[in-house]
Amino acid sequence: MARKTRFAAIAFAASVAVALAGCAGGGGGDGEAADDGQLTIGLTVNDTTSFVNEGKEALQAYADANDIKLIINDPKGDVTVQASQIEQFIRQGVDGIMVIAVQPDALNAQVLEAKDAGIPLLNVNSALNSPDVAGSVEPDDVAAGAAIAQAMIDEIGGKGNVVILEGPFGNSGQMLRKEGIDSVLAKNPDIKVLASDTANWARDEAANKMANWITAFGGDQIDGIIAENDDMALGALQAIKEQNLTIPIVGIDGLQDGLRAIQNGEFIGTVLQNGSIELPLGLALTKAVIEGTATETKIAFKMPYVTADDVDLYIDHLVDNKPAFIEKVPEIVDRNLKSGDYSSEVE
Amino acid sequence: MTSLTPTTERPSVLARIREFVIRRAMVLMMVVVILVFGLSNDNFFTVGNLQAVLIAAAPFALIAIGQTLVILTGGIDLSVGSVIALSSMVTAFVVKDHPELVWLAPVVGIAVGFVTGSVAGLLVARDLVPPFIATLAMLTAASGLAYVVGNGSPISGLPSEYQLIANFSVLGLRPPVLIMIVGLVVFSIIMARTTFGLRIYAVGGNPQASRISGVRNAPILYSVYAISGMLAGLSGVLLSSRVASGLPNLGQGYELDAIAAVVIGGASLFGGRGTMWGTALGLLLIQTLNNGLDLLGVPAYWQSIIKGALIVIAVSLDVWASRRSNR
Repeated sequence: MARKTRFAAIAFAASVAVALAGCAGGGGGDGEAADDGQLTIGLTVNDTTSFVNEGKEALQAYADANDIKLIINDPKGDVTVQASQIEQFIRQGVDGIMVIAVQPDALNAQVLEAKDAGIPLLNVNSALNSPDVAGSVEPDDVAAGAAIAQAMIDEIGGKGNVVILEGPFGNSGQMLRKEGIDSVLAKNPDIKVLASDTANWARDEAANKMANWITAFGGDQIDGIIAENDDMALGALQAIKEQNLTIPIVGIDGLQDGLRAIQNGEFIGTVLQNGSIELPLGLALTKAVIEGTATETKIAFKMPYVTADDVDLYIDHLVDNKPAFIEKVPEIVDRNLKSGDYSSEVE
Repeated sequence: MTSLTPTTERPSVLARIREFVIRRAMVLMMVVVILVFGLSNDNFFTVGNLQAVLIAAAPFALIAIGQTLVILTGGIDLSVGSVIALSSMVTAFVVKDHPELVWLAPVVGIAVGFVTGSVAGLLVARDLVPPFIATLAMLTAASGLAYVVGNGSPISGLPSEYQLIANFSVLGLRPPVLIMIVGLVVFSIIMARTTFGLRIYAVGGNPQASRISGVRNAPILYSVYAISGMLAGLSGVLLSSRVASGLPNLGQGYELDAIAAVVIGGASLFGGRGTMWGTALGLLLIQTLNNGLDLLGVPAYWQSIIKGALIVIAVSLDVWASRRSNR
């Protein structure tokens, strides 16, 4: 009861704020914004992950290029807040909703509510287990896990001892990437996993964990380090540097530091999850679904495995000439949506 | 000799052993933990492993020192984790395009901590808000600020000189470890031998009595939060140098480990009782557990449960022991 009242108060305050700002249209399914042909799309996403931040400029560039009004709300990691934000978007009468779900199984009621209101709700860059989503762009984390495990096994010649640094247990990224890693390991009985534990995606934690593993097994006994993200891979790199060791490392994400580590020969590779391509793709698909032009609504976003051979192209896009690349993103994303080669970065 | 004290019985050997076990419970627990790990893994007693434990302990040690001062006054500093994040972000921001300013990094980090610590300290010293609230507010605000500095993203691609701060080696010891040792020694002396130290105990033990006896409580209260902030700021620089980037989520939850170390070390959350040596012991116990349980391959979440149990055991032993001695 009290909670409902508080929610109503927040919702009221939020709608007043929105109305005052003159943003989205009011009550009905088709807001005023639709009158001038502009689409209003609500996005609820944890603002504070670096992946999202990397992709935000490109997302805005795509929105600007296509006259889309984007309302971004941050649930701060709380799925109940995210649920309220979706309800708020529905009440606001946006044209479409993009959700980067905090939790895969907790938003069914809101997804259904959006469907009943005739507002397409799409799930981007996260698992959202509801049959009623209007579309999705989901990174293929299983494939990413499989790719790094395979790359490591190839690197060490199909035989040896590895350690695995995992994300927080129960996190969808951790579970899916591990599933991919395990599927490859199952086919390679000569690879022995010495240890596999979480370092919670964090560099400092991974550095300490790796240092302890080096003590436990001996630095010369560890032939490879498989990390489920680049931050942990970079932490492990720090730990082996502190002990003057050289051990091959693979990661996932394609952070700037990770790509640099590939250039320096410190990582053998990483799976690049380019937010500047993936997030605008989500927006492009949302637009296509709203306009009824989408051909494929469930997109599995296959992320490229980057090695020393092609790392320069990605560094150019993500670091050195990012503004120039972002200008081309709307064009690239529209092309990819048509061609089905969703993660292509070729200009 | 016994004839002079006919009324008190000489305690039996067994009772004395029991007394010793209770009083030195933490030290004994530490010895047991070390022995168990040492016997179960050949690599536990190696120089490399000792270094690993100390490097992992150092950033916690700095904030645990500050936390001890604050807790001795009967307060608490929840903000230190966020201050670490903010310090790492501001420092990374400053040195990012200015490799020539790397030497300034520790100063910048300490300055950041001084500002945040001063705000919390003033709020507490002027009795505007209780310590829990003042530092909770700072925890939230500093974390937000850390994200603002980098526009939400981590700051990476820092000059290679920056990594040197935490990573060069003096006599086999890295700067964070040296700073930890110096910090613990200096603050032990301050607490045991200086007027300032005595006043911290006085303010925490009995603020009224302290005031009546002529101690101005406000400056003491202010300074413990400022010191705690500065130490957290320095810790942020060292951590950020170690991982070669400014990370807005660095140090998240560290305040809890620091508080745990202080509490395991025997300090009272009501103030007035506790020692730097106890904190150092509590800290090393936690870090040794982290290290040893990793060596044994115990998953991270079980490690948290074990730490939780340890906190309860330590505090109940302490409470029990002090009740006995008060009898």
